[in-house]
Amino acid sequence: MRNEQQLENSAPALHFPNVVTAVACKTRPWKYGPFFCGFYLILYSACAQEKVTYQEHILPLIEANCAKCHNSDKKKADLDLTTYQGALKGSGSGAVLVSGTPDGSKLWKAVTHAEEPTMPPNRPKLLDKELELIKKWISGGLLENAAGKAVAATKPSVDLTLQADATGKPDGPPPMPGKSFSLNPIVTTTHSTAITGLASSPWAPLVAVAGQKQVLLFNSDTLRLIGILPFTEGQPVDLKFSRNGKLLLAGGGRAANSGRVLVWDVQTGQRLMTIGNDYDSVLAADIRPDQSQLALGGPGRLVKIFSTKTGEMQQKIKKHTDWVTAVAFSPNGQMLASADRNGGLSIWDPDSAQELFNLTGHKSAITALSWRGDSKLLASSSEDGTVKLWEMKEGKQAKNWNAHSGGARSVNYAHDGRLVSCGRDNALIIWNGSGGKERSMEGSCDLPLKVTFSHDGKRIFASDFSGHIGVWNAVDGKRLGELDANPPAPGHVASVQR
Amino acid sequence: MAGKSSNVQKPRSSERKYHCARAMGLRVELGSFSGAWILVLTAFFLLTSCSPKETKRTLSDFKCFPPEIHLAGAAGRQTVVVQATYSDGITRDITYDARCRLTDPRFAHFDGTNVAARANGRTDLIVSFEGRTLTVPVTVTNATTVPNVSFKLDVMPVFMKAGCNQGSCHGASKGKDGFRLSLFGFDPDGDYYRLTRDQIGRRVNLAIPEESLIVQKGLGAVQHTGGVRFGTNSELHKTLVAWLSAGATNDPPTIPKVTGIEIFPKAAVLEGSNVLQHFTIRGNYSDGSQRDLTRLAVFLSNNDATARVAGDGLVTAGQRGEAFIQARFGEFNVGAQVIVIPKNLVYRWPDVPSLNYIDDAVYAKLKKLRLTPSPVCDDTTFLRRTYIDVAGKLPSVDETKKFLQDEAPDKRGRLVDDLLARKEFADLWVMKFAELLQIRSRDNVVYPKAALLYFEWLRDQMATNVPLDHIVRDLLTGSGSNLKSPAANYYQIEPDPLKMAENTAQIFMGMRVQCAQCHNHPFDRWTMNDYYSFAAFFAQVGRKPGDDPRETVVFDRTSGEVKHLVTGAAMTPKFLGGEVPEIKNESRRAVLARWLTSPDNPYFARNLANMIWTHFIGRGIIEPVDDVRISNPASNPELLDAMATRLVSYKYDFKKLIRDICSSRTYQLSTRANETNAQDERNFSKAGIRRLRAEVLLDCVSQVTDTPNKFPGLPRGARAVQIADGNTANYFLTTFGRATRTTVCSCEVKIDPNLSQALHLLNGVTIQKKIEEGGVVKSMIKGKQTPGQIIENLYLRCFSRPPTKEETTRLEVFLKGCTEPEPVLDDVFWSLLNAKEFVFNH
Repeated sequence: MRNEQQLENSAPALHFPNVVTAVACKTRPWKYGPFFCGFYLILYSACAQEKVTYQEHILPLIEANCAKCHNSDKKKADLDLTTYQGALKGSGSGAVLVSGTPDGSKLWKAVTHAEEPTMPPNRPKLLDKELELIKKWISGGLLENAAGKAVAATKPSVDLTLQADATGKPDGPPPMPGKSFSLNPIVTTTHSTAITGLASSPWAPLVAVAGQKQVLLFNSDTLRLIGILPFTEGQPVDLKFSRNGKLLLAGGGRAANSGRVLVWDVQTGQRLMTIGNDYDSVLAADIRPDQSQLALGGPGRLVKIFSTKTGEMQQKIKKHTDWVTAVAFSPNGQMLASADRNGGLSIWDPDSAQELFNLTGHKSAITALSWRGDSKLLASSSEDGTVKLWEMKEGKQAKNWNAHSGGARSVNYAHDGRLVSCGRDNALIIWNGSGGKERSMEGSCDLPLKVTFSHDGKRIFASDFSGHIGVWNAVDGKRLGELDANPPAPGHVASVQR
Repeated sequence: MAGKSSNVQKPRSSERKYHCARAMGLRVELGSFSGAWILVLTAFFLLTSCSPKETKRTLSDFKCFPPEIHLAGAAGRQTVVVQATYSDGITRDITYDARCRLTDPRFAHFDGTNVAARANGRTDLIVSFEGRTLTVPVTVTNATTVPNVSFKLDVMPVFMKAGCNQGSCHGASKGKDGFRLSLFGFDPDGDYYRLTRDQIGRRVNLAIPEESLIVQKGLGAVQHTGGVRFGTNSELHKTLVAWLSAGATNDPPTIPKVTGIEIFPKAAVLEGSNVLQHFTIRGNYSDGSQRDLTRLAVFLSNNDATARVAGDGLVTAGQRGEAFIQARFGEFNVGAQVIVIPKNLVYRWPDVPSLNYIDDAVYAKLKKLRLTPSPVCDDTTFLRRTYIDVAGKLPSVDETKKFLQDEAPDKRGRLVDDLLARKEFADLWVMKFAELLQIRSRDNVVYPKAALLYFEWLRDQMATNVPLDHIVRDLLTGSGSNLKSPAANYYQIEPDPLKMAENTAQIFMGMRVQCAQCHNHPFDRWTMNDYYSFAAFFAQVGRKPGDDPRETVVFDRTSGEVKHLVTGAAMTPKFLGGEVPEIKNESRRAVLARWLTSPDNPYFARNLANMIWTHFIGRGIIEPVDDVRISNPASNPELLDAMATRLVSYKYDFKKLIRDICSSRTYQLSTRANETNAQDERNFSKAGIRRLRAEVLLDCVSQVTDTPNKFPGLPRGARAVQIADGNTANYFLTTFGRATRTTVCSCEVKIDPNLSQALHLLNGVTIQKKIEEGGVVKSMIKGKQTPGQIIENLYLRCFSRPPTKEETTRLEVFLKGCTEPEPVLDDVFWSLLNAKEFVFNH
């Protein structure tokens, strides 16, 4: 032990090229005796330190190059390379990895273009050093990780689960951002772009807006910016407040690359958890009123339900035939509604993922879902131009009206059962509970995308295609002003930063 | 091979005699055929290869493309290609060898390949090469204007060039991975909508343009099934980002449209492999401006082995052959022909006479390819070939003798005229059109009576030499009772408006537009809009029952529309590849019929010309005849155009065109290949060997065996080509691949030989039975003819030529000392009918 230590210490001073040493060692071990044999050991241990493992070396390669098709959701050719077990299991036509023999491994032949189909498709081969890693990993026995232990799921640091009676309006003052919030934008751009995420707190004068790589919080009474939450994982797409208004979540990510849902504490601005590890941006997300579960959906056509306690996926619903465009838990927490780009709409039991109702009727993409406060009615808006109300006793369509010619983009229930909707006809309309038109907001938007009542139902906020957020008085339809979704950095001239 | 043929098996016993005679007959035939071939070929080879005159190659012409340059806007530029043509037809890309300079560099700048705008004004590009000079006028306008990035003019071409909107990617009718673009960008406004206002927030990001998904995907920066389509430094990337940065706006409706594109040079003859040739593409716009599209057009080669083309229009020559370089920009396609010949090839055009415009066009192509046409065939071959092609029968023994004895130099021309005037000529073409029109009875749809009347109507048209365009107009406008005005059966045989449109396009324009019913045509310019608006011409065809239960009355309704499969919109009638006509109180079909047969329709006359050519030559200039598309170019467009023009000037009297074809030297060529044209199948340098089509073969067998046929519904002795109803069952015809008349496809008639055909001729009932039934040999023996005379007669009957001396000598062996020659002669007859020389038109 002590000898080896000494040799190891002296080894760097020898400056022997490794190959020469190795050859010498092999051919004439007797001549060099213990000295070189010791050196051999050092080499061996150096190699051991460079163990190539799935978690450390291979998974990043896979995520960058293979995961779009060979992930747990898509499983092209029945091959999932994004989990160690999946990679070992292989594809529909058998194992793709043979421990110790790269040349016998289908995966190796595919990535080296030695055999059809060549991978990744329509792209040049991986870099030589990346290929070298894969080769080493296969020759080295397909190690999972350095310690040889299973990797534990990343468990959220906080438990958000509430008692059943705490899912309504919280006692005390409504949750509002504190003073500690940053007002420094992550990005300020010269031009604005379409805003797809907009939510208003159910109980507080608080509106959240999905900006560029950030979520902006505004006071819905004063219309002033009161906080900025960074979303550095890409772009936020869908925003939701929890039922008690204490949490804000943002689903989004980088299109065709990664999808995440972030959850913040509204009062402190602290990021509480990150859920989801998708390979495309999350398009829809919601949290169950008791905060025990979080649902998300996106281009993967799957609805996934995660436990907020463990961070693990509990359910994966494979029903939608197109991109999932909206998910919404009912206010009583007993149902989850999910909708897709093909007009498909289903109601699920979030615990068992059993389908309760399949609501057919929309002829085109569903753009938004909103529950009435008593969980008895669900409103859906669709590109087919209609807003439909669905009752939950028998799962039937209760009301249906042509709300916006060209396509309805968004619908939102107020606490009192009125609805507001917007669409491609550039109109913002308040409807009574049975679909009777109450009022149009004056002026027009450039393709309004998302519309919401303020917590008290007195104001209407709507985001549009060109990046404006308009504010209206819900009582008389007059325009009250605008929120600046692209605020300049304090003391800086507006400029593009990345 | 000539030696081998003399090695004939001799009969070893009398029992085997007949079998051997049969085998021998075949072998005699085979041997003589190929032996003679080799001799001629050898002689020809000696003649041509022993007298190569090395002629010194001189520069005969050089050109700079485009011939004049108009640059508009600050970014205006034009790629220049200089091409030299030498006395032997070889061309060379001399862009880098020629000296080019601008007379006034204040206005423009030349960087070796591009002329770029500097300031408004006029200057000249002086190009000099080997002591000659050329002047290319250059005008620069709006040199200080930096135009906005246009969605239609700049961005749409990016999707095309990067391959985003091709059929296998986002151009598929359902798109790819959730995103759809119109195929090859036929619907820019739809694409604009889908990019910006569908899945809003996902595809374009106007705040941070570089992070737009369309950019990220194209760069391959995020997962993209289509991989990397362009690099960060590419113009495509820059154009996209510039458009997004400027707010990703659509163009005002006043934006100029592309009216056409041109490719320069139009053709190249490259000598040696790895020789390079640049191509440049120029677009013409509706505002009169021009633009260099070389970097934006998509280049394709139909033959990579001969000419490989890179994305920038640079062609690299490969092995000897011919390739078609296609450049595509938006809905426009242009092509250039590239011929590659080996370096230092010794070739001399044999100075054969050109008998008419057909020969001119064919020779021009052969010269380019360095091919030598085969010699002219002998009289017997010509006689047999022309009889089969024009009249669908064989010459009688007397006709053959008379023709062979005729010494007049114009006897071939007179023969063609004589045959064209015969009833058999009309019969043959009635059959061909009956196949296209699918004249065939079907239970409860087309009654035999209707089919028969339809056929008779067609026969009357042909017999009275009604011009083809008249016939087509009568068919398309056919109305009334299908029994009283039989042309109306055109709409009885196919009642579906979509199929009517498909059939009309395929029969009369040679186009297969079926693909566009469900998606835009992947290999041609036809979109679903084109398809449904063409089908709209047939939307108002009405049908009601007549008095007779077998009768249908076809009429024009005043309402009825064809709806687009995707949009559900009622389509306005629009000519295929033409305009939207104004239709006032008139049948849509009448409007269509008028356009279809008018010179405004570039496809009608060409299609007829090609169809007629194919019948006589065995291979279409566009092959197959009913697959006209941009990606299937004509092998000799000049020839096709010339014939189409003639056909129009003959007022669609197709007999005149046939006379031109048959009197061309090209038609009269021998089937025997020489050293240069052995591999040539497309350029008509030799005649093709074609199996007789089913009906003609049966008629010929019946003719030479003197055995009349009886087909249902026809008098005894009627010929198979006269069968009116395609539903008539006949084993022989089915085996030999006659058209079922269930589709309009040219592939219905099968002339590929197969085993069951060979077995049927050898062992089936037809040949043997007809020999016995006809008693040809018996009656000749009765007529006191000698075996020698009988053999000569049989040869003349079957092959339209007397037997060769060698054949006679060998057959005499079997007859020597034979007391009963009839079975032996019957076997000779059998052998001749089973010979390839009989079954094939050569």
